[in-house]
Amino acid sequence: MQRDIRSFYKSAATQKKVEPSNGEDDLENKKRKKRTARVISSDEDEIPESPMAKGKTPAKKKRTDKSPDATKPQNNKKPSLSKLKSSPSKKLRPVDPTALFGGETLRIEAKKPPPPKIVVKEFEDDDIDKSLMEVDLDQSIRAENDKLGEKREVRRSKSKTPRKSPHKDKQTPTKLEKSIDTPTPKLMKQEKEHSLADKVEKEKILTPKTDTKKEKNTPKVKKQHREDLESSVLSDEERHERKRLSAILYQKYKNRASVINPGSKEVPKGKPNCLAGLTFLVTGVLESLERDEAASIIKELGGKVMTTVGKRLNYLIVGEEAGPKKLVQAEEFGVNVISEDGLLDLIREKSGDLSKQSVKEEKQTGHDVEKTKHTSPKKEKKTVKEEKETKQQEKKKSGEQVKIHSSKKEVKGEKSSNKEKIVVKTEKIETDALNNAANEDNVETKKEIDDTMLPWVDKYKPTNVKEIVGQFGPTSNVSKLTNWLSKWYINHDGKKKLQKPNPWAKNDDGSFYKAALLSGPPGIGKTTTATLVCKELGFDTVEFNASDTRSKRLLKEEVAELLSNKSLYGYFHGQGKSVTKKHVLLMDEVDGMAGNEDRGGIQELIALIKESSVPIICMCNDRNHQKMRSLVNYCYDLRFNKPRTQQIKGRILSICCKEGFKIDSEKVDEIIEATNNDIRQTINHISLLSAGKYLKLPTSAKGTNKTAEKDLKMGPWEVVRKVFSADEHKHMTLNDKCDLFFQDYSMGPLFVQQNYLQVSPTGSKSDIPSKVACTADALSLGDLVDKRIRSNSAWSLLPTQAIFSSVLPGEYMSGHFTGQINFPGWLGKYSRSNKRSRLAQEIHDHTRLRTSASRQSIRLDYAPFLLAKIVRPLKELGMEGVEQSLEILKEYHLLREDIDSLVELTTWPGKKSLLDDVDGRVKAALTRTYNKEVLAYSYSVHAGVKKKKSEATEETEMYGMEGEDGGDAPVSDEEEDKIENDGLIKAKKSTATSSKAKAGSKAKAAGSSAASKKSTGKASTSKAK
Amino acid sequence: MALWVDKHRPRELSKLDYHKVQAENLRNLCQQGDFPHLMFYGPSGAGKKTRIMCLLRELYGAGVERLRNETMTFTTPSNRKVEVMTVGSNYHLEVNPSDAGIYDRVVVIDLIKQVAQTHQIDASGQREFKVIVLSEVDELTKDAQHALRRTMEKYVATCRIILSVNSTSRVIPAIRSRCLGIRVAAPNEEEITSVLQLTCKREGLTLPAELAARIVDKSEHNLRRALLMLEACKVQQYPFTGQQDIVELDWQVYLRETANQIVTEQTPAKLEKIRDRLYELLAQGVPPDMIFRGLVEQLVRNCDMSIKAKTLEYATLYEHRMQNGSKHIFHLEAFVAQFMNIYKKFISESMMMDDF
Repeated sequence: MQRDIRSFYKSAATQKKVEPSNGEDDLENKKRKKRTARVISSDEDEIPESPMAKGKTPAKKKRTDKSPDATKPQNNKKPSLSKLKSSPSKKLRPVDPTALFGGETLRIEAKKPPPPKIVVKEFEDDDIDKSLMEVDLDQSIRAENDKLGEKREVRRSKSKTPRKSPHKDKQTPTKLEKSIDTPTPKLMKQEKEHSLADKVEKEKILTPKTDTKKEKNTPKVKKQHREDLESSVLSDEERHERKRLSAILYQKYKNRASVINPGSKEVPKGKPNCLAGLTFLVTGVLESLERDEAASIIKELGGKVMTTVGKRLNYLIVGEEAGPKKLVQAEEFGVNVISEDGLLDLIREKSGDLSKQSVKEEKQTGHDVEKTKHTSPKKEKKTVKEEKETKQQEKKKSGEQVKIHSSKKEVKGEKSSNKEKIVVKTEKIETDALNNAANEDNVETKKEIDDTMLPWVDKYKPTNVKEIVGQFGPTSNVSKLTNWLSKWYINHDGKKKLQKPNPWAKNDDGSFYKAALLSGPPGIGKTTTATLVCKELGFDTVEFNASDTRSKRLLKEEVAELLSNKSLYGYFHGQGKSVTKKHVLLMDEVDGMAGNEDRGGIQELIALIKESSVPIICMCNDRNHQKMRSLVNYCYDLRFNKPRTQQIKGRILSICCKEGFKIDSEKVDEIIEATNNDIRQTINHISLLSAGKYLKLPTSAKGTNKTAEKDLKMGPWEVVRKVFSADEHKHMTLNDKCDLFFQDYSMGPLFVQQNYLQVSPTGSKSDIPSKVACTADALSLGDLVDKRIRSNSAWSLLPTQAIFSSVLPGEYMSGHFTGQINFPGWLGKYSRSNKRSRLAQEIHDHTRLRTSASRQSIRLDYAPFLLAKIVRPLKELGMEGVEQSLEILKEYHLLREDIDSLVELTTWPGKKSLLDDVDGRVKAALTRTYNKEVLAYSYSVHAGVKKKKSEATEETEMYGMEGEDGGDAPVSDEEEDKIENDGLIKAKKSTATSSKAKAGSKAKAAGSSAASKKSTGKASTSKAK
Repeated sequence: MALWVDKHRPRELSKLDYHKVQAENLRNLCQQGDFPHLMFYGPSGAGKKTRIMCLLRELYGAGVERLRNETMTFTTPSNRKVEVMTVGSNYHLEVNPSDAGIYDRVVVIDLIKQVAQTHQIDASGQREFKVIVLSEVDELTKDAQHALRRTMEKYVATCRIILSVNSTSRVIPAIRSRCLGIRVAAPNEEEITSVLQLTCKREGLTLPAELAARIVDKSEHNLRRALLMLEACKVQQYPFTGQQDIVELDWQVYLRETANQIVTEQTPAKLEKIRDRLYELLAQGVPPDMIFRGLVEQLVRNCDMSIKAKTLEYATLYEHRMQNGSKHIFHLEAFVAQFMNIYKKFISESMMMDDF
């Protein structure tokens, strides 16, 4: 790492070269040289440490050559150092950005008094004083920044942004750009200059970064700083500039972006009330949190959120494009200004949950802090430290011992022994930190390598629920799922009795269900949603997908056990999380639970859902699938729809941008279209196309389209249109045509057969009959093949059938459709003929005792005559004929229903049915009489008919009884009853008296069973008498 | 009040109206006390069932006429319940195994075992065997037929099987060789006429010879159909006249009309309409081979000599394919399309000739 840092120094040195040095610099240089000269001997120690660095950087050498002291070989570092020191100071002074923005840049965490210049003055010459001050300032800031963790971005006002360390920039190049863009042109120039230098500086500062944490600048000191700066730097021009800026800022505020990296940071779980008594104000756009979110987090933890800056405000949380006024005010009131990271750290700190990175480092150095006394000693320490920092550069070049010397000197004036220790220790820590940084760098590079190896789909996988395409808003599936999952334990604690919601109810939150079923086409983020939501809510997931065996046994034994376990994940991963019981069972691809492996899996899953003590999330593609039928009743239904093309496009373009791959937006549209709005596949395609430069793929517009085309499942209508369309044939190979058949090889031939006559083929009209004949012939052959395939399971013949049933007809009849494409009539006709043969079978069974005919002859020969024989008396004689018809029915053992069957069997299109001529009343009379008279036949009939028959028998019985003790029947019976009985009796005796029969029948129809019960009741009572 | 067909059905072998020699033979067979398995074969409406019932009556007496229905349940190996209705008396059991569709094999095996495994308790004065009548054996699947042949031999001691078959060509040779075949030929014209006259006499009607001849002609040697037509004629108009309309079967009319339409117009649109008519016929249960036959007869009658041969050729080709295929309509339609093609060609050619 040291090497690295040196290299930074070198670059800084080169930088220095570029900048014209003024007299001051020279002065400083000289002074430093003087100082460093003493150190030479010690410097030698360092040289072996970094031999390569020297070699690496010729620039440095050049530099040294140019510098007056170049003669001394060991000195080559020193000069650069001195320049470094001077260079920032020089730059900073002329245009102090901090001044422009009320110096807000400085306070990141101004808790402890920074190194007061006074102190410095005491030790140093006046000449150096100023520059030192500047350096101090910078360093203190940087130190603070770094304290907050290098990962976080110090996103203060623009003036500061250039200072971001290069490695940060690597991570988020865009940010840097943004920040550079923002300053006014004037500023920009200067700042660009700065930025280069500053970056270099930053890198340098990497080293001090780590050790500074303990010390805190007191706000007071800062204030002093600020005031100094302001008073000294603010000119009229700059004021004007400032106004202009604020106007721009307001514009910006109006168009402010949303959170830059939503959810990119882990929000620590603070102890409840860990922020109690503290007040916060959020300004600007934070990096990972929405303002509201931040506010809610603070409130949750007991903090207060204010709207204006006041004395009582403890912390001002500053994001990008923060309001300058607030910053200034904060300055005035001495409020601590922290970034988002600061807030998160604060939470961690307060809740005693030290997390990695900076916090850890803090730990390392913790004991140092303990040693140092609080309050005043601390302050001093701080100053010492800062000085140390300023000199670190020196130190490195001039040798540690010297440094210690110097620091000792400095410290002498105030406190000695303590500081010495500290200095030594900090030195150690410094090296530690360097190592750490090196490690981190390595890790980063590793990561990058990994990234390039990953497929894009994984590389750009959403890491946060907000990144999931097409899942915004409160009605989105993500928020529904989040809501459901977060309330799960509340809803299912066994205390509540939940109502099963109406399946048509809108906005159901699924609280009734113990499981959720995410369904939707592939590649739109179901699994991602589930995992991310679980992650966000802090649930651990146990996932089973199609690659696991999910049989009944396995689910029962393993999963069920698993669900009652506790998760140690948090425990082992040292996140300070306690052992949790919160986990979720993810059953991915449940529609794949089939076959022998997973036998009984669905049933067991349902049983699991019923019993489960944890939430279960199931996922499938088609929730209407037969296999899913039983499962959907137990699941909260969340249907994922395909995201719109625009939604996908946005993500795709951003990925392309990140990968530096240029692609037309129309092409993206096409690809998305071709993949049927499948995000995953679209990304895959883009990835493939991006490889085009290396792979030398044919990348003509047409070619790409072809590659991108997803094998879509076409509807049979579309298929049959393509089969016959001459236009389509032009660019189709034989294979393509065969593929049309394979879209649905059971329906395809039927569609072709149904619709080939609608096609008007191209070519001479006189050829049409022969073409039609050829087509029909091919279809007939296709049917032969089909029969062979089905009966012998000779599926290898399918291609043959494809030729006969689809390709040949298409060839013969190639043309265009003149009519509508119809659904194959064969299916309907087939089921109709099945139904009729069933009816025929029934009649055959019933008449079996009387006739000798086979089923077929019953249908073709008997049926019309039999029906005529039954119906004729009704038609000709009306009510009189009922008896006669009934005779025939009885003779042939027919049921009343069989008449209708016979009618259906003898109906031909365009021909009137015999029964239509019969008066409706007569028919009713027939039915009635039939019900009364016909006894059970010797065959048993299926349920519906049986019931009727038993009713009939019951009635006949009852009439017998009535006849017996009719006289004894109590006269007190209701009038209605009597009429009813009369009517019935009469109807039995003769159906001729139609009017009476009707009256009776009405009553009977209403409650024949009731009547029968009554009369049987009567009968029993009379018997009892 | 039953239909005449059933009302005047002969119940004893001695009262049969035709094939009297054969009837005599059957009686002799019964009187011997024992007989082999029988197979009655002949076209529909020839009198197979009638003869079987007469034979049984000859064997067991009037008791066989006390028939009852019974629903038997069979369980297939795949645990499906199949219900088959049987008709039987104390002495015999009649079943149509093809009712069970593809499960007919189960019916054949189980039913015969069930019946054959029990002996007649009251052996005195009765036969030692029961009779199982299987109808429509030619409709049985090959599996069922193969299952049948072993059971036929195995239980020959306790039961005889009488098969009723339309065409022996669809019965496997193994079964044919195990049975005594009894051919019940369709009655010839005189026989039908005599039966018709006899029936009318019994009903107290007089039947003009001309009408009788026409009915015979229409009935296609199907006695059942002839009698049904006669009765319909009687209902329509009595006293009979020689020229009165004979009620035709709807499906026959429909089929004929279809054939005529084919001849009148040959376009894809027409073919589509024809297809609908064919569908209707099929849905009504008219067997596709009968449709073929009806069409060909009608078409050949209406077309020129030069294309008759071609028509028949196509008819045979597609009928054969239909028997091997699964969707009848495809082949019927193909036949119609081919006919339309050659007919159209013929017409246009003859027009050209005329022009010259």
